[in-house]
Amino acid sequence: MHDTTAPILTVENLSISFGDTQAVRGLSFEVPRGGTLAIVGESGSGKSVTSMAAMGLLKFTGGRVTSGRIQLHGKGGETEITGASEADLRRIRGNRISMIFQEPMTSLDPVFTIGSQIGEALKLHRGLRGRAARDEAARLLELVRLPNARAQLDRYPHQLSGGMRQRVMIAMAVSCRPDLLIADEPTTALDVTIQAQILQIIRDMQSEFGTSVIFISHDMGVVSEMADEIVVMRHGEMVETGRAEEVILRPKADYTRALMAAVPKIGAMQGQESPRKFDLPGQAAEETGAHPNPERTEPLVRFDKVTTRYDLTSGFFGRISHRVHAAEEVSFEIHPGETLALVGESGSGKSTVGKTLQQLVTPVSGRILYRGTDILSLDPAERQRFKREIQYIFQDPYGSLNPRKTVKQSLTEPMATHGLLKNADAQVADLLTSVGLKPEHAGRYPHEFSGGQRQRIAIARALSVDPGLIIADEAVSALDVSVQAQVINLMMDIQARRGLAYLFISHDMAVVERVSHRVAVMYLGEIVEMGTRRQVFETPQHPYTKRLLRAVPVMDPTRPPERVTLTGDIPSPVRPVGDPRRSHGFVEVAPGHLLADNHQDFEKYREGIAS
Amino acid sequence: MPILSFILKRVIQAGFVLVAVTLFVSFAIRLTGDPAVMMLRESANVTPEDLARIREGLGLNRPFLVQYGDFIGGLLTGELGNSFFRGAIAPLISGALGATLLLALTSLAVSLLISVPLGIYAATHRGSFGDQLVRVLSLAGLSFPNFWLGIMLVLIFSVTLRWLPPSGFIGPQSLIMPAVTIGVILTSTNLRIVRTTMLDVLSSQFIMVARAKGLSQTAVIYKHALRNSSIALVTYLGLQFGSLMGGLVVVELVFNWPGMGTLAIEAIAQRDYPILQTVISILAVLIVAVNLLVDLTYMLLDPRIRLE
Repeated sequence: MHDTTAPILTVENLSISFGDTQAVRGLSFEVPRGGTLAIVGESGSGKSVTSMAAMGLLKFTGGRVTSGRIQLHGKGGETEITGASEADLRRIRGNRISMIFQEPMTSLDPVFTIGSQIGEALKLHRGLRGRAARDEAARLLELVRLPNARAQLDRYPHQLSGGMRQRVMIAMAVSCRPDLLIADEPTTALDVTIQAQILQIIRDMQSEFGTSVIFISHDMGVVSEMADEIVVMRHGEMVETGRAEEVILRPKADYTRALMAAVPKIGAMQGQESPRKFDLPGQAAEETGAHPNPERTEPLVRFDKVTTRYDLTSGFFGRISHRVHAAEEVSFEIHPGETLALVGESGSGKSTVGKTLQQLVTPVSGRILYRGTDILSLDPAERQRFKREIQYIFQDPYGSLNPRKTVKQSLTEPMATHGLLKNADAQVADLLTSVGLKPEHAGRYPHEFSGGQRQRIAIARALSVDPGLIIADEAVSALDVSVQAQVINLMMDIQARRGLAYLFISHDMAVVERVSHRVAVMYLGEIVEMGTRRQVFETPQHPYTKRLLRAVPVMDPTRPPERVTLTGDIPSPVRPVGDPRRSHGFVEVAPGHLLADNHQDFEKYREGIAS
Repeated sequence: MPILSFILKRVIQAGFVLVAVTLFVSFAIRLTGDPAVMMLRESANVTPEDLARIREGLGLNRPFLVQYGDFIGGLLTGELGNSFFRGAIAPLISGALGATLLLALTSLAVSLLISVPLGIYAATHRGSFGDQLVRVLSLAGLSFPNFWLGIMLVLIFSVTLRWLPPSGFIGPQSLIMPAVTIGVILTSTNLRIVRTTMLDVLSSQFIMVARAKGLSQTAVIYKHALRNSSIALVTYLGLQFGSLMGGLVVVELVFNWPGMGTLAIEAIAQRDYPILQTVISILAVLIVAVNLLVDLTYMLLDPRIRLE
């Protein structure tokens, strides 16, 4: 179905500036008719800015095109986007070129219904009103396979999950059968099984309407599943372009090769006994060797049937009517020097487990043992001591450092709290060196650092009180891949040096496969499968683990994308009071490989909970 | 029905607030002086018996809680009784309340008519000369004390130009200066609120999505952005209403406006408990009612609150 003769969009020598800063320099590419062009790059590469220019929306972001042109060769004839009047652009936007944005949670206006927001585009470009618009909107929602489509029209965005909102966005974007659909990181904020569904819907819409797609992403796995052609960008310039399989399998530019090396690839660790650092350019060869598994003798932390629930109140007297069953009878052990990964999707309870361990929330029942001591039975003063032993690194390196404190102040505060401050300057210099920063950075403020550097500071802060365990809650999820690889390597180095244990909480299966010794898979507040990394990744037993692994996009352009069953959303862990969930036991399928004993019931069970 | 339960909760809360306010006012005013002494201040040869007779006549010799109960009963039935010095209270209140509400609503309207369009203009032309001008003017408006502004207006328009009556209420023209005085003060803060919340909403992703649909600037601003920023504006107006009532008292005094503020200040000077209690209680009811109205408006404006 490719008509390769004429591209749908040509970008020639495009340069874009924000004030005095050049965001894009001399960019040229063509979007194949009916095909998908992926623009790949890390933050600040200019990929989103380019898409805004193609929509003629650049001026609303404060940028301007300083040279070059963008031409659309659509069904309405030739149009030059750069230089078109605002009135002309309004006829193109949403009609001939439409766009799906990254954040489904904030893309829809909270005060209007779904139906009225889709109706706006239908009225504007297709002249549909009233009943006709409503019917068409319902048809579009059915097309993106939103369950109960007609009933959704009267609902408001906050009543829909992220995945459902993104489907609404897609329905809105294709409502006028555009020539070109721009998808800017459309699945980055979504869970992996939902991501697979959204990617499939985009592909389906493409074949339904013959739409060409510009797919913007930082995720090489996703790009590999979607793209016919790839443009790799860096610092506003094109580094490399070509057919997707060429660029992915035989990258020519050094930057592309480095980027590919830093991408965690699922399955890349098959047969490896222990975690391995990323093989980054400029790194000594002996540094990339295996990361030996620690001896498992006396556990550092033991979670013994820990249950954490949150109460929800309702009604006139604020009675507790429902409970969020965030963590249900969770049991695991972490040994010194070991990384236990907790994987699962949103609402699986993995962060609750981290918070419970850090004593930020109090469990309803169960025991938490640290080196054999039951923390929960201690008086508050003694508990304080254990808070030192367990430190936390958060996801957002921008929000977790106080912007009004210097690095030194941020690092010395926990030491002072726990009475560990001796020679502040020397201690801070030591910490900064250990995370790959320079002692002279001590006097600077967080805004002077990049995201990766800030995460290094956060790690240094966690290390400052010499803990036995660090909880890393999605600690590398917000970072660009090359930075992510460096931070992971750093964390592994520190582990080897200090014999530190990690509770590594993540939704990213490929990263988990790289770093962990043992893996626990969580679903709806329960661990459904747990074992060594090899056991879980190479011989997964639970249907949910298998589903999770299948949903991960694979960076292999020769493999056709797998059709996923559109099962909808992950069910909610909220249950009415007095209706506790039946908990399950475990069977040991191999030494150390535990599987929920009700795994055969999983599909039934899942439907039962969802209904 | 979550909405009914919400309203019921708020009404019960409001009831507690009103009991607390009226109790405090009735109690506190009795600590400030004896009306019997005030009444006989001019007379010679006052005996303690004279004072006791007057107290008995006014009902002040009864226990405090009995007096309070009478007062609340009167409020609830609308039988407001008599003042110490000026006869029946009900007609006094109804006249003053009407005048105060007229002034309050006119000044609010003046301020919204100026601040909403100017605030939107400033937000959509951020950093332009017009935006700077709006910000400077709003800062200037904030810096005037309202009584001073009132006096300046009287000096210019009544004393020098002789266009407007300096005080009292002799017709619609009397409304202009007091309404402008309060309106200007309200405008300065409302302008900032409108500008800031508009800027905030305009930077949201759903605004960019609306633009990407091909909607015109007018539709983006007046449909999507204004509706969303009105949520914050309504919150602010509710909070502002209390200080508006406080500000009114001073401005009414400057213009000798026959409203609740003037009535209250006269009553304080005479220790006229019944009038003062009633005025303050009614103002409290008004403020509580406005805030209840704000909560209900939220539900209208924001489905996230309505449907939770």
